[in-house]
Amino acid sequence: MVRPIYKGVHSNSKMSAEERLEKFRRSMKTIKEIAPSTNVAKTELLYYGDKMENFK
Amino acid sequence: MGASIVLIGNNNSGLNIPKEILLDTSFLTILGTPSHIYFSKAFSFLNECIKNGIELYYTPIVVNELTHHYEKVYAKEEATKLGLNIADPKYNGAYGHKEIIKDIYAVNPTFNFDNISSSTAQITKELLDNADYLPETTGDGYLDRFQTVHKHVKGAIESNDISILLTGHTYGINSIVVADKGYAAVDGVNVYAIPTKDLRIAAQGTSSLHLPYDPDWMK
Repeated sequence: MVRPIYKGVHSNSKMSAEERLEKFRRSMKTIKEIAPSTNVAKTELLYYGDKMENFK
Repeated sequence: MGASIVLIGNNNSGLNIPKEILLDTSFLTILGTPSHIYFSKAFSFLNECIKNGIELYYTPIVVNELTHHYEKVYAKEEATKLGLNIADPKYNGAYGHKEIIKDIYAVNPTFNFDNISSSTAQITKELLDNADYLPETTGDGYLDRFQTVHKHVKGAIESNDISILLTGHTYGINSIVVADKGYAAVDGVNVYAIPTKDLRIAAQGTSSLHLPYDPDWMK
């Protein structure tokens, strides 16, 4: 099998683990700021698993 | 036989994670919901992957699914602001988001769609920004292999999920992180699973040994 050449051309795979962790934490901070409200998420998200009981 | 299933915990330090792993939409929607009870497990897993240099990948199907999901979620937020009842059954189902958007415009004809599209774009980008993109491939024999997998899974996963697995396989990847129990039915795949009730049950009696990549999988 000839594997398509795509590895190593992306920004993430060129970054160090420390740089990737810092970027990941920034993303998660933003996600916490912009995530949809819990009430809406409860009506839409999660046909995965146990539905409404899945929220804090 | 089924997949090899590893349940994700609160602390995934020391977990044997393959060097490359696909991200499924089901996992990412939990990562995008900080109020979800499994959010910290999803966060911990990705944190551990990144800390250990594991390469994370997504395919175009995941972009489609995340966009579809968040368009509907943010449309429901806008609908709520306009006093629409988002619990109405007509807003559920595959085309529910179109009904919501239609009703938003009925209530407010000057509604700015950017309110939905910019939020959808932003959260989708943040969720995928820490992974790398794999172009979908349709190499020789794709149709035959797709139909082989389709027959094998007996409806446990949807056609989009089959496409994700086949694209990953083309790049030499047979591991995926999910919150969707259907993947448990797929032979030859390493499934890293959010421990929902369904996946906890599915994991019982299955192997958690790392399955090697098989170039002839589903051929």
